[in-house]
Amino acid sequence: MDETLAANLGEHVPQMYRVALRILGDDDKAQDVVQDACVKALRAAGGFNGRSALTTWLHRITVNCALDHLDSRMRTERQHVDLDSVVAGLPERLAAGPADAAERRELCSVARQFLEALPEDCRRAFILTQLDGYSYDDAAAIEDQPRGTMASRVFRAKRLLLERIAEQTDRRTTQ
Amino acid sequence: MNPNPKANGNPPDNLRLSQLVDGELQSDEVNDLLASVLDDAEARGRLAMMLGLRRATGAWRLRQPERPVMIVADRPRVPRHGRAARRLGSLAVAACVGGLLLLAGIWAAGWLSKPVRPTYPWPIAPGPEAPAVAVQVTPEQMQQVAKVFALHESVAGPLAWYAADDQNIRLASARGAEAGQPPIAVLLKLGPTGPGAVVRTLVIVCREQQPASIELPAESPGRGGLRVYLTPRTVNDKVEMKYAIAVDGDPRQAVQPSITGQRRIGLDETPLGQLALDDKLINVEAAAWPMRPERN
Repeated sequence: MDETLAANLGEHVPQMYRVALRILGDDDKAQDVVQDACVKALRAAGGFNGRSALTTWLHRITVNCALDHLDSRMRTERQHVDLDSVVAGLPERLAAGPADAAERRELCSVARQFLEALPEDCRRAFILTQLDGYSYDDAAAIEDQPRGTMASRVFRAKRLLLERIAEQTDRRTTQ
Repeated sequence: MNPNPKANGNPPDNLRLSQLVDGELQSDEVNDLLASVLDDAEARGRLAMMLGLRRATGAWRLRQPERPVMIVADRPRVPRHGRAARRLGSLAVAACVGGLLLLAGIWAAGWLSKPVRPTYPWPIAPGPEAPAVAVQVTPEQMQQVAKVFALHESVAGPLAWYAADDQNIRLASARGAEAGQPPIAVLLKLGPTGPGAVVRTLVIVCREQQPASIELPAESPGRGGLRVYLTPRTVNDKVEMKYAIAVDGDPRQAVQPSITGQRRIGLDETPLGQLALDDKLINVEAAAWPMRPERN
């Protein structure tokens, strides 16, 4: 197991990095967290009993390491920072035409509000599968839910986001 | 004609469209769904929206660490005076793996994972009890080095160099064309002269014609750290190596014990010189070989 873990760890690093970056909103700190998580995983390899998937186990270690890096006082503020960076690319992708800087800022703010406004279970499913890059199976294991439930939550999140984006687009068009 | 009658315009179809754009459907399901979408303009519009959302998050989802992730040593390091001033520039990119892989049980055959004793398979002390014949690196040991190096690269990405003794592991990530240079293994042994001497053994893997500046902490409190500079070049299956090796002695001493030189080295251990440390003489010997790609 130890050797297998070390050999396979590299494949999981990109996902671990994105999880850490999303939580911390800082590239350097995210890379530090991944390092810490790899260390902890290797040291705890003997305790990995195989009952959960390796992906799930590494995800939990990464999340715990990232949270350890956060001062509890800053956690709420940081969540805003990371969501800002998450949604930074959304306006250009979704806007019908080119947006100026002010419009981009507004759209970013709106996109963040949309994400935050999602029901908690849908938001988590969306983040795991669409941002962190986990498969439905891995996300289902992380959330300890059936795969079908995860697929349904992802879809509901997308539907809500698309509805709100459409409303926002209509509102901008009529202004 | 619709091969999948369920695939028309109701919520379950939207759910399947969502799974389709996320790559979560089996091949046959994908074909059925795409066939039904082709005949349905409204479904095509919904698929386009789903794809737009998927693409919108793609930049984030594909983000990768800009530098290879290194595993940092968690072992307490021995404090040394003037360490920062003496830190070699290239070590800024080096990361430490302080024995973690040892802890994880990866080190095969216990080559470096146990203290080196006078019965070590490669005695180098030229005392009266040392064997007269030169000790040679075995094919098994070469394979072992290749395996360990490959293992570390699988975790940390391409490496400029790798260095390990029985207590520490140091890595530096490769930059630019470094990763494409063939790896060269160097076995470096330092030990006081005389019988019963304890030898410090280092396994180093660096790159052809790429200088490697390696700093290893003291193996125990009160003992000297080690700094090694190597630039290897393969010549007729041997390694032409420029080297500078220094051991940190008493920080109050003005001059640090060091040796420099250039030597052609093969699988037989070759003396590089001696370091005068306190009242002892430290023999430095090396064997080196170009690492070949492993054949299955």
